[in-house]
Amino acid sequence: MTITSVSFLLFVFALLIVYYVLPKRTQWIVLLVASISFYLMCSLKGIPYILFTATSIYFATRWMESLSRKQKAYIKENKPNLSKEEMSDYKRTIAKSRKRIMVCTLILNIAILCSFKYINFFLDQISLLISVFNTTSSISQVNWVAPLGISFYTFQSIGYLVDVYWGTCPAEKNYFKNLLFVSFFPQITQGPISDHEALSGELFKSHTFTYENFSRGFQRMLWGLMKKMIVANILAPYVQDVFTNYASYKGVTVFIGALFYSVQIYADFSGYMDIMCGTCEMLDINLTENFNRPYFSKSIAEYWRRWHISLGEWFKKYIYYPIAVAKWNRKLGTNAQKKMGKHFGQTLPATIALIVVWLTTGFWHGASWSYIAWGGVNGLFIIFSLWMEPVFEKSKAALRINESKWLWRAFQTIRTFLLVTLIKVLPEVGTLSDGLGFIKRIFTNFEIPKSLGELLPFLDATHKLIVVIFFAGLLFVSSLLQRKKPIRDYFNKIPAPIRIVLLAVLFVCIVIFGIPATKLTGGFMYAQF
Amino acid sequence: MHNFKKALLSSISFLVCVAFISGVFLGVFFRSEVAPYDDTSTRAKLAGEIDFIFCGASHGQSAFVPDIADSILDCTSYNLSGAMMPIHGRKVLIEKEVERNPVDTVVLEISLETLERDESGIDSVEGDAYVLSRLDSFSERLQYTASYIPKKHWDYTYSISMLFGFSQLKSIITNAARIELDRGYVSHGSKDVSIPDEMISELHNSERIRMPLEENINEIKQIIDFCKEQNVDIIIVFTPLSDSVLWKIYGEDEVYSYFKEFCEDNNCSLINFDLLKSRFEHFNDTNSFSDGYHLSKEGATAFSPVFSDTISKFQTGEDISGLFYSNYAEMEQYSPYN
Repeated sequence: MTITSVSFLLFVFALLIVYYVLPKRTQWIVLLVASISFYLMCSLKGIPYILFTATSIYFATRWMESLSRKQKAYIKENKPNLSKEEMSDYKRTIAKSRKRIMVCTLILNIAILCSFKYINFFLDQISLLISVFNTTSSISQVNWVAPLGISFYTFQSIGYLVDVYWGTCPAEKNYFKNLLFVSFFPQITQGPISDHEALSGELFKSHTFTYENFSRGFQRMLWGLMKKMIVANILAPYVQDVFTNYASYKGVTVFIGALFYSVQIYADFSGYMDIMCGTCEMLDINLTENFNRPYFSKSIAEYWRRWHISLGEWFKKYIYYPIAVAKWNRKLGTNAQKKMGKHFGQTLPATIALIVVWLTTGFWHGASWSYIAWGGVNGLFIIFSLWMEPVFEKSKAALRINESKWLWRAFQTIRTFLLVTLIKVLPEVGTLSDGLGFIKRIFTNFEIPKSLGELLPFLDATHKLIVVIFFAGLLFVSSLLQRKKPIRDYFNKIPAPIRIVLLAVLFVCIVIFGIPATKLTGGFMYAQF
Repeated sequence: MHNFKKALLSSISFLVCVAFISGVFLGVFFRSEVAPYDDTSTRAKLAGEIDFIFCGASHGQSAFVPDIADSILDCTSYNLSGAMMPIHGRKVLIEKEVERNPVDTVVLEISLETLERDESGIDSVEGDAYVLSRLDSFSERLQYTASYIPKKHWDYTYSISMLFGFSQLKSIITNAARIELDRGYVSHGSKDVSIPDEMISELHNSERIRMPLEENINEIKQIIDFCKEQNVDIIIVFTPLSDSVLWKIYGEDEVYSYFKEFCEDNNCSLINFDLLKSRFEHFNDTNSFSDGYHLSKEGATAFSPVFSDTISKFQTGEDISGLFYSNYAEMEQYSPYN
């Protein structure tokens, strides 16, 4: 069952009816049944793995929490009889046990994720190494199909496991509530990766049907379907054509292909989010937002705070901060500050953390050197900005640049958008050298196309381009308007009968332009992760 | 309760709006006959007069000129063909016309492409949409959809029909010229489809023709059985492909033998105009075809008398085997590219 199919719409509406008809205390059970059913319909063979993750996390968190409780109880009972050393030893033993449980569970679940996602990458590297010594031998690839959403639910579960280990989140006592947290169907394919406290707060509260939630949720679903089925799916074959044939196209055509890709991936991913957030809104559940007008960012760092927000937050919380504030790193920073100055000393620990974050982010996105390079390039830009901050400030002051002026902000936005566009295509064209060749083509071929056919050789029908430009334009305008308030606040000011007609027209446009495009293209882009 | 009532009212209003817009576009598509291939009222006017039906897909639609056939065969013929028409679509339209006309001959055009095409695949949905537009009533369309279009393609059928209705509404509003049918025949412009000298050896036998799908053979059998029940003479034909296409494809003899055997087993005549000995005299790659597969106006004007003459001889009991090569391998020896 795909999210853009009629059967998914019917699934959601059947769920809504059952969800609100049954008693409120059973609503989370309805969600659990729906999530497991959804998973079974989409990935039957993946069920054992998600159950393993949910079960291992459940027992690990309960065990760690029980050790903490035991420790508290033991100390309270025996405090007068224990010396300081004995108490420290006891605490250390409990801490070691908790750490062992956390690390073992972490390793088990990451091993499953790596087996499915990265086994072929590692086998390729081993083959490469073997070929240096022995040209005839090689290791054949395995053909394992990754369980649906493994990257997303594994990261979400690991986050919860670490939160319980840190003591910032209590362990869930109910196994089935824990299972729902891991398998909640709107998040399973493409996130967002949610915090346990935030998500469980939403999942397990009582939900009341309101007209506002229903209508706003439905509006958002339709908007998401438009983004995915019309904008992303019409652009998909054009982008693929440019990626395949860039070497024979003019530089300006290749550049247009890159721009199309930026629009496509945004429409695809954010479209999915809109469909799922809309679904959740109808269920009176607030899902974490994953996008905040990312193409209006003024720097790469800001872009990554607005694009796939939940993944960025996850990496920040569980990788960046632990490395940045680690004792050895802080010591390194202090020593560096003494020798090289304050700025150097303060920036070095952050730089080390950022290098790790960005290489792992790249690797999370894809098991290939081109994805690792992509992560590295993003990290490089962010690290460079960090180091050059004092220089940039001095330059701006010397040039008397007023940062609040719209011209300067427009320059920053356009510059960031172009940079992000060029970095994005690096791993998508094929190998790393293909990606570099693609970018090189843009900057080395300046032939001017003599006709529309030469400019857009991949275009099969002009009306499709007009449709895409119209709806992408709609997205752009709505993003501009959202600076001040959500677009739906503007939309809901329109009288209800006109609103309904506009939604019906949007639905018909999705039917006429979106269904054919969807039938001829693949699924969601981020579902591959 | 108030929230629920409001939501229900809004949902119903939304569905009514969607139904209204759908009704407009689908109504235009199904009823307006602005579509290039929509001939419902033409056929209705001729009901009771047609005694010769030629039915196929686009190959047939561009090949058979009823006016020419009528004068040679002394009949009132109709070209029932349609673009991308699936075999089950041909069956439905043939049944419909046989029921309301004194039909004594049905010529079923089948191509090598038709035999290997998966008619439950997404590519066939467009052909099904055209058939839907040529049916008379809502119930007929519903029955056709339920019987022949896979459930997984219903949304795509709805989408294509809406798109066609939208395009046709635009044509009506802008008063755009429509493609005129001549009792079902559509004329095509001509194009030189010759193979350049330097590509001749490279392109020889470069595309394989696959064996027919069993579902397609079963559907053809249903048409044969229906015609026999109605005492209607059924003849299956292959219309001629260009020399360039025949040069490129291979595996045709395997398919042709298989299909010939099927026709013999079912006591049905098969005439393959690809193997016509005089084809090199009547058709050429310079102006007889529009794209290698479809006859141009010049090609159809040359083909129709040859076809009609051959059918006439065949129906009077003359032995026409001498007019044809026995197989593709023999025919290829005389190809201008050899």
